[in-house]
Amino acid sequence: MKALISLSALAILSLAGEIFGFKRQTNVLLIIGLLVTLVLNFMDWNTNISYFSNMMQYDNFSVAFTGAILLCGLAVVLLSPHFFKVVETSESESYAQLLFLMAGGLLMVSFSNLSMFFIGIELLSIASYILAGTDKRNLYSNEAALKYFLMGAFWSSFLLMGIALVYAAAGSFDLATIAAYSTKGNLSGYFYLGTFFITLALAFKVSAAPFHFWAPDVYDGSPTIVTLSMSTIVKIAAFGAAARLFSYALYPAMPSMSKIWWILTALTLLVGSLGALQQTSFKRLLAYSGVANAGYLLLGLIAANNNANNALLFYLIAYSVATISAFAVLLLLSYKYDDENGEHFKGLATTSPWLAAAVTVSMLSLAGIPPTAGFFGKYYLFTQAIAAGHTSLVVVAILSSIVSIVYYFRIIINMYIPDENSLPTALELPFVYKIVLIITTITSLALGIYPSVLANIL
Amino acid sequence: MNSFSTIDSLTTALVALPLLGFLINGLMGQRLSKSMVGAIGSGVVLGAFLLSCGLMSMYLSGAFESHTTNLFAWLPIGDYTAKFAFLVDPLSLLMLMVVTGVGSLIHIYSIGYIHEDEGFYKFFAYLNLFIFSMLLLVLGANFPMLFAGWEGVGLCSYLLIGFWYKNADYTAAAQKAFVMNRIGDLGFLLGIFLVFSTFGTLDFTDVMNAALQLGTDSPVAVGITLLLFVGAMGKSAQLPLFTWLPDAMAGPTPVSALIHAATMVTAGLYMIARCNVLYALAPTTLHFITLIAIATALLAATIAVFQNDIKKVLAYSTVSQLGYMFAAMGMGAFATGMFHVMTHAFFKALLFLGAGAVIHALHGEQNIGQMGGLKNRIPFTYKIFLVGTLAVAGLPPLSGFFSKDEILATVFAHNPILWVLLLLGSLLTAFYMLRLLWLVFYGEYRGNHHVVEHLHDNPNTMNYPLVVLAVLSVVGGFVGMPAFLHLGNAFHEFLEPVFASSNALLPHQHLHATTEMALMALTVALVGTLIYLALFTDRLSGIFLRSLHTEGKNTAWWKKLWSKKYYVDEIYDTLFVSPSRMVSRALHQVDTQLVDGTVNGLGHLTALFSQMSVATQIGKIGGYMLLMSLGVLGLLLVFVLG
Repeated sequence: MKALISLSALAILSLAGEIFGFKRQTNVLLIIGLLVTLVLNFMDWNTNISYFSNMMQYDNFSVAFTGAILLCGLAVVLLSPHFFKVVETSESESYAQLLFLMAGGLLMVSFSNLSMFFIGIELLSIASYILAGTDKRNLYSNEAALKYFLMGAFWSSFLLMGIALVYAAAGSFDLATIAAYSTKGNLSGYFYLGTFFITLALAFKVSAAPFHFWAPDVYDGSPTIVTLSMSTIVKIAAFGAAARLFSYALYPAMPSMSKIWWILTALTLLVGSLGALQQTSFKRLLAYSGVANAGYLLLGLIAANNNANNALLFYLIAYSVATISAFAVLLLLSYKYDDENGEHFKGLATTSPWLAAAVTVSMLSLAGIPPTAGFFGKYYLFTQAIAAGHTSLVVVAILSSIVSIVYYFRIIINMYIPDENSLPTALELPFVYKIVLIITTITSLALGIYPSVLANIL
Repeated sequence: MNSFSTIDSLTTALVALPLLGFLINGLMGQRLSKSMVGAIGSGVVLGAFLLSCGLMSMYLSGAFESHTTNLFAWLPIGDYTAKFAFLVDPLSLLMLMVVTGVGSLIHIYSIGYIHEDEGFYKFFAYLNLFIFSMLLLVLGANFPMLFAGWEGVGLCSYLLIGFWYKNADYTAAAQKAFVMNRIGDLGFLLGIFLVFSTFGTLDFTDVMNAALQLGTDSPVAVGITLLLFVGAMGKSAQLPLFTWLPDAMAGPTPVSALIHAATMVTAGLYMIARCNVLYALAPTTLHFITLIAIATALLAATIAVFQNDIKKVLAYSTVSQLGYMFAAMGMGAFATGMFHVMTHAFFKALLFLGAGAVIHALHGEQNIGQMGGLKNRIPFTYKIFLVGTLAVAGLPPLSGFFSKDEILATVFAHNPILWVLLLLGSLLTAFYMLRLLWLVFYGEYRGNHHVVEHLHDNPNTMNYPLVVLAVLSVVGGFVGMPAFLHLGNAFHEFLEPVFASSNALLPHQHLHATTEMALMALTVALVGTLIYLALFTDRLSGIFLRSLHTEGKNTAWWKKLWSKKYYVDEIYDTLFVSPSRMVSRALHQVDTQLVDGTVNGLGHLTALFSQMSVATQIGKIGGYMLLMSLGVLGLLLVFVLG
């Protein structure tokens, strides 16, 4: 809760920075502020207090997911200043939007009432629509914002519909009351239909197929730093919200939804990996990789219990860390070349061996090769899915990860083959990028060697 | 684990030193100067030797009898956990002294020998790694540790045989050594598995204590010992797995001296000595070992007679001498076998390094047909070689005499017929060694005169180790005096604690002092006559010179048979190598056609699906909405109907 207050205060501070003219200092202020927020957040560990007449429940689940969101937000803020030198836009306004987005994410992982859940998801969505259009003079950015907004609005109606139906059945928005109602048995059809609509709306939010069409276009069109926020912060928040909703309240409806889950998950896994196979733009590749990874994460939702939530958290962190590495290098390359083509990785290892090593670790982690975090992330999710009786889905997931090796390794191979078109000198590496890359790379490896640190915290 | 005692720290440091040397030379050797690399490479082994001496003196002063150093839990297997543990007892102490002692001498020698080679640092890194693995092998307190060392030395042997990897023949020799050792390793591993399934533990002490319950000649004991012996056949080059060792001479000569004469090839003997209780319980296996050993000893000795490559002669001599050691093991005389392991390490290392000195002086010439009369041109090397030759021939009081005589006496006590065979072998040994000595150093020079004009002895770094080894070859036998002299056999007493329980199990026939003396006198007389004829008269020179030529129509069939090594390689080629090649080619076809075809087909199929999935990305919001609505409808249908 303290984290939420502090985060909102920081958002307003950024806006004030625009008005009162201390925009230059905003970045530093935000870094300090986010670090303080992180500390405040972890002070709530093991407290489990509910706020606003049971609208929010700040339990360990919330603290852990909030921590992940804050860390990703910190990485985005650290990487931002160099990006805003290239893209002409209002820096502190963008920060404000980013912080509002994170505040929405915080609500989504700590709600205990469906109305609060809806407020969170809307806060997050509206901020991300605006962020997608941050590069005001860029047509693609505008297109991305509009596409995202229109489709998002469409799906918000589904979500509201679902919430309304669940309310109709259970007579309350409160998660505990819904859970009490749903475990009684003899449920009304409204409850099932409501769960169905909520599931679809969340499927859209996490870019699950066949509701993923927006993702490649929006991820690709948005400014790269925004794409990074979307594929890390938004993903953590969306999956956190879904995990909370299903494991706290809607789990009795899960068995009747198993076919739906099967189709959603299998389709997402296949569309994501197969789509990524065709991409030449690294940014678009990461977009599709985001879709495929949503598929793995869906495996962790099906079981809808605490262990599965832990596996989900582990994978989200592993995925986010690897994604931040990849995006940091992508940003560096885009400053140099003005586009995001994957060809630019060719021969990178000859001039920038450490950078290439960081990308290699990141790609290995995304592909799920030991000893990286991604391996254990997949392993835990697969174990949970098998425990929940979805062995066939795990087979699909393994096939999908086999395909994914092709496009992740293509990047690695490209980097280590000398190329005459590659840069004659090392890529310029600003200090903060170095820090971020070192931390993410070490984290990827450390979680791959000592996964037990995070494996049983919930 | 108790507190870390002095012995623990000495042992750990002893093993860690060569590993450190390997890491430094292997990782940074390219950037260090050659003298630095040489100093580090030799220094760590010398340090290990000094630590071994420290351990030895602690043992002799009675500080411990047998000590186990537990470092950490290594391999948990069910209820049993193999520890990373070292066992220090007289047997491992003996091997430690030999490995690090001879090892450091050969390291120092190598500085001069390999100096011009661009792979200098790599050579020392490999040698250090070898010493490290060998130390694991002899210090390991359980079968997994022994096996790790066993495989480690095998790997180093492979790397060093193929050290000059640009020569295709050398790499083929390296492969041959590796593959042939794998065959032995299979038996060895199966043996270890059988040990584990029988006793539920792999610690030497526990296994040997448990084995005592088995009773004599139980099928399990015979099975285990036979399987383990298969491993020894590979590593210690016994019939039928011996052909790799002569080929292994492709490696640089210090490697031949260290790995393929003094240390690694005796690993099989060490293993049997380590498992002596098991072997003592399996007389059937011991008989089998004796037969194999004597056959190997004679076979290799006859082959050695007509070899024209200086190193090949020595290699076959090694195979033959290993046969002698195994013969002693087969008689249950473990300490006697280990005695010959030690003296052989001295004089065979000496001979190989001496041969290396000859080769080095002649700029790489190895064919003894191209040598001759070098006695006065490289006098130092000649003296070294003479000492080695006399030691291996068994002239008293050189070290080879004591150990070989002990073996012969043991064999006679068991079976006089086998004794006759081994005596024949000894005479052959003396003959081919004298032939080698004569053809290299006596008579007229038969090679290229351009080379001989600049001939001189080698630098001192290469000579000092030779002197030390020569001294050891001369006096090394005095620790094991013959029984009839009643001077006490220090060597046997030293190893007594290790073999106590197996000695109690085995029947021991003791020779009457006069019999032993008579046998000894006969052997010495025969060998002495040969030496006299070869070196002091010219009677044998004609035979020696003619033995260089084994081609042509008039050659007797047995000469051809011996010089062609009984066609063993050819037989193996026909029986095993060619058929496996054929199978391999057939499988390769299956792989390229069927497997690759399937995999590529799947790849193309995936690409096709991929294009289809991307094709839905039309970029129009309306289209997306439509597709997504269809998706909702489809899922709703599934939801309602399913």
